[in-house]
Amino acid sequence: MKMLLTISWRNIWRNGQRSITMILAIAAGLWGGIFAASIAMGLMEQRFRTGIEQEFSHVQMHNPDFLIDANIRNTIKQWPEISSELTADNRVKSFTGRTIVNGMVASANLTRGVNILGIDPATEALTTRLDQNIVEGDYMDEDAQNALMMGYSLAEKMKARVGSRVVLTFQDADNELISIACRVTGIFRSANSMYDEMNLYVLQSDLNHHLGEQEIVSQVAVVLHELDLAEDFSKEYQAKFPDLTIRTWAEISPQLAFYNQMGMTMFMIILIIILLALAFGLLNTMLMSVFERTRELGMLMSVGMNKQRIFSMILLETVFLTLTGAFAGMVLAMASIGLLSNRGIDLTFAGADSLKTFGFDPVIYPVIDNSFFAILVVLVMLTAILTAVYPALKALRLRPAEAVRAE
Amino acid sequence: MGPSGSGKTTFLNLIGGLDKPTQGQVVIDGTDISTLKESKLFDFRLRNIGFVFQSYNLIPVLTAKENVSFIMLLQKQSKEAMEKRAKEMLEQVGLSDKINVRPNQLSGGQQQRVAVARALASKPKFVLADEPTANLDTESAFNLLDIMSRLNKEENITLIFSTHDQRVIERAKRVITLVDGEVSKDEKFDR
Repeated sequence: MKMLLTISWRNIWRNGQRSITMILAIAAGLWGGIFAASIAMGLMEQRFRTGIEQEFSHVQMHNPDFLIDANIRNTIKQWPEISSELTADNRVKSFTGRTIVNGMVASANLTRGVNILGIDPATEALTTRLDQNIVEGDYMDEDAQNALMMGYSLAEKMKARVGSRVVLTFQDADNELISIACRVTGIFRSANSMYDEMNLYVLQSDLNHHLGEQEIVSQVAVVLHELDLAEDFSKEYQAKFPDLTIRTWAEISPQLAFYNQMGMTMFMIILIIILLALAFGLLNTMLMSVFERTRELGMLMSVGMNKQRIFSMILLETVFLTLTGAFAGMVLAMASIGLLSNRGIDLTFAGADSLKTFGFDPVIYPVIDNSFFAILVVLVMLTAILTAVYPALKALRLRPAEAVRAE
Repeated sequence: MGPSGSGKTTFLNLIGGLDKPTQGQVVIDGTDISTLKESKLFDFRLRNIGFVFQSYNLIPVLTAKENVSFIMLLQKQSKEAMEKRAKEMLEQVGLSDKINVRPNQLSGGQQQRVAVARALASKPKFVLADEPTANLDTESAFNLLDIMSRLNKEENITLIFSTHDQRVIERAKRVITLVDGEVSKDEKFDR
């Protein structure tokens, strides 16, 4: 076996130029493929993370009627019990209760339909890190009367700035239309410009006061210590509070769950393309190598090197050639992903700002799971072995008496 | 010996187990090799027959010593035995200073001497040499034939040549002449 390994390894370097070209092609292909996949996965992962962190949290609770009719009468009446349960539950990292009404925001320039979210600034910041998304002005505090935080894209459209006055119009508990004047105290910018345009924040106590009720909570958002706990947690609380609709992030946004899968799917598609290209390149190289060595293979068979060994030799040559290229490609990919995973790739210059409309950050942080490298090694090896079969069979079909005298 | 097309190579292929006869048998040391299965034939060749080819056919990626050891390695001989025998054979063919040299750094004559060392190292029952001097200059050919004659006596291994070369024929103890696939002459000499 040792001799077979030696011969196979040395055989690769007989035609150094050809082997190096092949190795470079494998390395470049894998590097490009892994890198492209890491960008796709980074994009999806970032969308998934910001979706969870900034929009959906891990679990949400609603009055089921609220999901059909977002009316403030459809509130969560069990809020005090839920609040104390969640406080005592050590799986819960943070939670917040929100009042949500549909309404209109009007400036001198524009009137837009929006979701008005009444929040408790302290628990909201812990749950969605909204405070970290403030790009102008300040994050609101408990005392800020009639303060309003508006998304960057909405503020741009309304030509509103910090300090601008806008009017919010919505229905109160008695279905009466009321209008309140608010001052923009902060402008936030999340990774999803569509979300920023549709939602604005006011103090929950303010909003509830205007709505005419003190204890209105339309939505409870919960962040757990582990994302994986969400499903069990949701089921458990659903059993405890059967009058509510309690859903995990995946149930609230199947699209987000799809993004989570999408990164992997794109990786697999890219991988299949690379492996196909690899297979054809290898096939060509190994067939050439067998044809060029007809006489030598004839000699080996004549002196008694059996077919199993000939087959193994060609298989080993293919595997060595592939692994050398694959190793180089993976090292390059790991290095470039490592380098850019902290710094990110800013695609704003390439017009990628529009990505924000769909909730994607134009600064992409490539990411790849180490387990993908393991999958990759196995698939590349498998491709090499399958590709080696045809040239090896060609070699085995040679008749030693003729092959040994081949020109 | 015999003219081109007389059947020399076919004959060598038959007794070397590389071809099967359409008629008749090839019996070597009591074994009818024409009825052996392919896998058995590989093994038979490995254990009983040495080959020297016209165009040397060494393994270019192996050194002289590794080339000589190659068949012993396929026979799964011990490392020590292989090492000792390979060195001894390379010494016998006058290449003890080229042990770690690869074929592309050797002259044609030297490569053919390595090929002879390789064929004899595993102590086969006989060695088939298909026009081994055809690609060599006169001096190298003489040198090679001297070595082969000596080894024939010292190692007690029969060498069967297919050749046109008068220098080979002059040293042979038995010369069979083939014409159109048939034995036309069978001469024995006391040399």
